[in-house]
Amino acid sequence: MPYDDPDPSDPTVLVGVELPGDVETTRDMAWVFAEEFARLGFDAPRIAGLFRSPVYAGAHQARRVLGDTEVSAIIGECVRVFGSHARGDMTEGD
Amino acid sequence: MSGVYNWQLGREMAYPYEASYPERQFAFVFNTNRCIACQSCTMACKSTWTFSKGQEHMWWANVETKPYGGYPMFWDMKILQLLDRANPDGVKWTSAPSANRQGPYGTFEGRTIFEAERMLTPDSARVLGYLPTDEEWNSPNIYEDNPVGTRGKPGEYHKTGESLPEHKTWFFYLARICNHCQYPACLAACPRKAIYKRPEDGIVLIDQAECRGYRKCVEACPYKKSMYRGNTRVSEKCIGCYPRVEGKDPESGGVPLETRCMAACIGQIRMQGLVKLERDGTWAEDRQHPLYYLVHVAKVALPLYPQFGTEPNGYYIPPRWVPRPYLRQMFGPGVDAAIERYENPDRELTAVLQLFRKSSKIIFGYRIAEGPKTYEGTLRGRKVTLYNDTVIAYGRDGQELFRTTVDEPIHVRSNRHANSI
Repeated sequence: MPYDDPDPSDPTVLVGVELPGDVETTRDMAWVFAEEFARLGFDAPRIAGLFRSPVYAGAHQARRVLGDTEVSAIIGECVRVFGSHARGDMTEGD
Repeated sequence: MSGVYNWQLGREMAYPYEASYPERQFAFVFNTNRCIACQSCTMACKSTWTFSKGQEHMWWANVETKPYGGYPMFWDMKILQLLDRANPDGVKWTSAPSANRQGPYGTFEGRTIFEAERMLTPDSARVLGYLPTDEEWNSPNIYEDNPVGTRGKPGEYHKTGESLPEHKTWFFYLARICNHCQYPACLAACPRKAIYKRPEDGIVLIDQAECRGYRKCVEACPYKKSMYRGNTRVSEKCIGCYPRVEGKDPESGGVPLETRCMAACIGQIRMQGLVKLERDGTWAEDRQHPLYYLVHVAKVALPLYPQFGTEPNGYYIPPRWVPRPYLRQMFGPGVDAAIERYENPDRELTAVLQLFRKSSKIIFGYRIAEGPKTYEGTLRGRKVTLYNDTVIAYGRDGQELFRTTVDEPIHVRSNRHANSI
């Protein structure tokens, strides 16, 4: 753990510094996470769980910025395209 | 200094030793778009190789949150700052990225860490670098996703944040191991020649009997993947899990296995292999090798900070949402084309991406058997057509390792199992 508080005059200490990025970047990130995990075979509830979990800071922040409705719509569209389980291929067993 | 050819820079470059290349080269591709920083790779490595006394601060494999994070702290900012000072007139890439395997990203016009003579102190130094402080090594991941807490109150964070409750910006997770560079800076800097690159697979190792702990390698490696161990007074680094790569791991059955960090990746972001090299050190054409395809054909995977000049063998599919200037600095001028292709994958790329993490055995080749069209429509306004192709992976001796499909069936274990997810 750093022993001292960050020195704001040190250009290498970026902690707490806001970098360029807008809501569009967050939206792009949400689309990418939803698409990647839909490609991996996650269904909509599991992807939504990833966005709800504060452990996954990137996805979680996107959900709070964009709201549940938009994130659900994003997940829905990705699962519709890539989710093989949505087409009935998922099996449950031992 | 000798003149060696660095294909990632598209030009000859200065290096302290004559060029010498392995038969095959350890290389890997990480898909940053999939990484959620679960740290499974980090812990797989830690529990295998660096669990002993004196290795507490040592993380050969780590995942850091960009842009704030780094292990050691600020490693890339600090070396970029030094390179900036070594290139007061700036650096640029001339000529456009092309299909030429001798210089697919154009030509880098600027000094690498081996060419910054006027910055080197003392005069005997061979590589531009710096020695991280103990403080920079000892707190991986702290404050990367959240701003600093209250001084003197460990574990307690500001309720609303000192200035921001959290970083309100883009970020992504950068998984890192040693890049087993073609022109290793650690090897170049070692005054005892204790570091060597294996001729059979290009894995870079520190001879523990020869090392005297001068830490020149720690100072020189721009990726800071050579680490000093205080209680043995020698340096250590990622060994590329070479017993697995050689096929000598007890569970391998004689077949080359990917490293522990690769095998543990639950996000399926990682693929590691051994690529064939030409006599001049460029990648030999091997069209059906998945790494050759991703790096030289689809060109979706790019080297990490190629401008350092070490010709790293770790390649990254860049995160799609991050501002392009940052990505161009990190992965070079191939970024825009890589993201464009990755966002709109053709039939072959879609199938090859399915090879990630379906097996722990090293893939030496693949073949695609075409399947039926399964979807045609749009995604976020883009036209998408999907085919349920089958992709077949082959091992070192041409034996089939596995086959998988683009529309992969999902199997869920029933809830009666304790380890069901």
